[in-house]
Amino acid sequence: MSRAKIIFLFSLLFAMVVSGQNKQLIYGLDEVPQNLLLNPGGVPQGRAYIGVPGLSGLHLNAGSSGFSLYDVAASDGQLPATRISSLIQSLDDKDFVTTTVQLGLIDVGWRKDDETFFSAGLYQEFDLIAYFPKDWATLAWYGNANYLDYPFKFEHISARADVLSVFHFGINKKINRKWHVGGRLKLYNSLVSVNSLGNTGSFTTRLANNGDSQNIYAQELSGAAVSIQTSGLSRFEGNVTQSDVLNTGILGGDLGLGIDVGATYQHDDSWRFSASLLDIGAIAHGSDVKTYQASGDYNLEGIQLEFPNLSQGQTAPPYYAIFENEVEAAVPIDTLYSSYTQWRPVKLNASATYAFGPSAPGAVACNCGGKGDPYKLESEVGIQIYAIKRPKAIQTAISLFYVRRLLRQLTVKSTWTMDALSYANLGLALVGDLGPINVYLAGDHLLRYGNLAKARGASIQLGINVKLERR
Amino acid sequence: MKYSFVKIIGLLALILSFGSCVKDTDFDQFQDTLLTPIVDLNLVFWEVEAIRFEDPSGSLPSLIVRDTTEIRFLDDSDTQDSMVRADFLFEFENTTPTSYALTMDFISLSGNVTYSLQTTVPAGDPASPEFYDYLKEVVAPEINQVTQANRLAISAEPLGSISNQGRLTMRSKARFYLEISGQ
Repeated sequence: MSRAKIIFLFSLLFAMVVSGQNKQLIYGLDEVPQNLLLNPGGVPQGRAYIGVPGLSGLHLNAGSSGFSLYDVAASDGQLPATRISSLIQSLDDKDFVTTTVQLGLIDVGWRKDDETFFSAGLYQEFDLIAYFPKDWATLAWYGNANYLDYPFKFEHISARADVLSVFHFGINKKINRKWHVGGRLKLYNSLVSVNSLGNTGSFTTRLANNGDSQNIYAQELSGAAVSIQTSGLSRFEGNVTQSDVLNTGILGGDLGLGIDVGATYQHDDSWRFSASLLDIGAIAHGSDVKTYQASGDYNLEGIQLEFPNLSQGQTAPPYYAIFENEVEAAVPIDTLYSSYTQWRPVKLNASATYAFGPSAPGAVACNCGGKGDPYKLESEVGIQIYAIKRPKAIQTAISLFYVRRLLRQLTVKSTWTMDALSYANLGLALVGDLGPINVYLAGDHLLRYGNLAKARGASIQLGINVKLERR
Repeated sequence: MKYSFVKIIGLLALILSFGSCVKDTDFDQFQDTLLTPIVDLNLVFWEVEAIRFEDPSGSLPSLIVRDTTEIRFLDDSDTQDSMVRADFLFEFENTTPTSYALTMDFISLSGNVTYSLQTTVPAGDPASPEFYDYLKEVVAPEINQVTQANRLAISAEPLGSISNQGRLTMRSKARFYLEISGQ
């Protein structure tokens, strides 16, 4: 492959990158038990682990691809209207805001034998992605007067939010000293889901031409098909008790199934490659489903007066009501109760790691015979790729990382991630074992930590586990 | 060793907890922020044959024709709060040899005329239509009179002798200048 092609492919990758649910700081870190949630084919350590309920894995992530809080609300003396106008001009309908919260409630893992490791648990997740509705923000901000002939497109309205709990059970199998493979079965329990995706059609104002309107403008709603799908909303209306929430959170929502698969290939003591595919599955939304849908075509000409001959006491026709009825007939707004299926946002992780330096603190001094488990070295560098299927595109992120095992109980991983939020996202993770207590703490966008308002994203992960070492 | 580890973890936790902040921002400024959209909308349109101005009983030289429609959004409280200017454009085509006095009355729910526009459409000819535009820009304080109304009544009165040939047509639009505060 020519250098130009390589540069082109990398440029393409960098142009599309984004973080979202990326957990680049934890992926590939064998010292963190929750690494198995990112790659069921990872290399589990120890005999067993149990996460501290509610604290085994907390992940908070928020970001936007096109702007920071500072861009919106800087106290720089500039008029906010000027700043927002500039933002509306610069953003496009592929820009988005995203928020993810994952909370591990139950997390356990245990070794069956030298080759087999089981893991299971329950976590809750809130995930939101909302694309910038460029055309409609433009219409709201500027109006249509200076946008004659411009079609304001409904496809710019695109958002999805889910609250769900996930029960999971995974098996990790060591095939030989080079290969670990694994899979995880997931039972999704959707508490609330709201989305508005796949909208089509447009609204255009143009001067009447060729008889397409009897008035000055032809204001045309063309091929409009806009919908909002919801499930589970009414479960939380009225008097909702804690037990209602608990029951729904356990198995009272809409159910779905999914799988994770992954593998790790240890080429030699230095080179390791891994990959995983997560959340290949779907949720069948069948109960408490409401879909609000508006579709049709309409040319808004205004109100046509007829100047009828009226006798004494007669009133003019109800033109406005007639006009409203016409609009409602042409673009009916329906509420549907039919079930629908929604795919989970599938995610891909992959990495290539090169280990070097002396043996890791506490590890065996050498793997002289070339047999047994791979040699654990003090330092690692590598590259990771992350991708997630989002409503408008597959979004990717790329990370370069450096891992250093500083002490017998302490591992540090630093990452430089390039994504749609930032090309200079530095992250740091610390993992330590205090006896059987395993603690990890990770955060990224560290360069912006002094003033998060200027960061386009922020992510924190932390967890506490109790680990039992192998006998 | 363990002590060092605890110190490092503790330091990072402290940084994450207290070291981060959101500064150089002012969210109160949005209380004064104005969206200032300019919205163009078709208004009413009509066509009246010249013969319509004749009095069938013959007792009057001509008739004044009048019709009324609701414009419900005009006196909506949001509209009242946000509309700062309205430009009304009325486009006439007259193919009758008669000129007409046109009155556009904005009428409130209680039936009072809150604002009124008058213009005269010049006479035309069936073979040579008269095209006449009437533009009225309404700003404060008159704009508040417009937004007190929820009906628009249009009347046309022939000026001089009438003909039974040709027709009078009107098209109209409104350009609304809105200012929407962040409060």
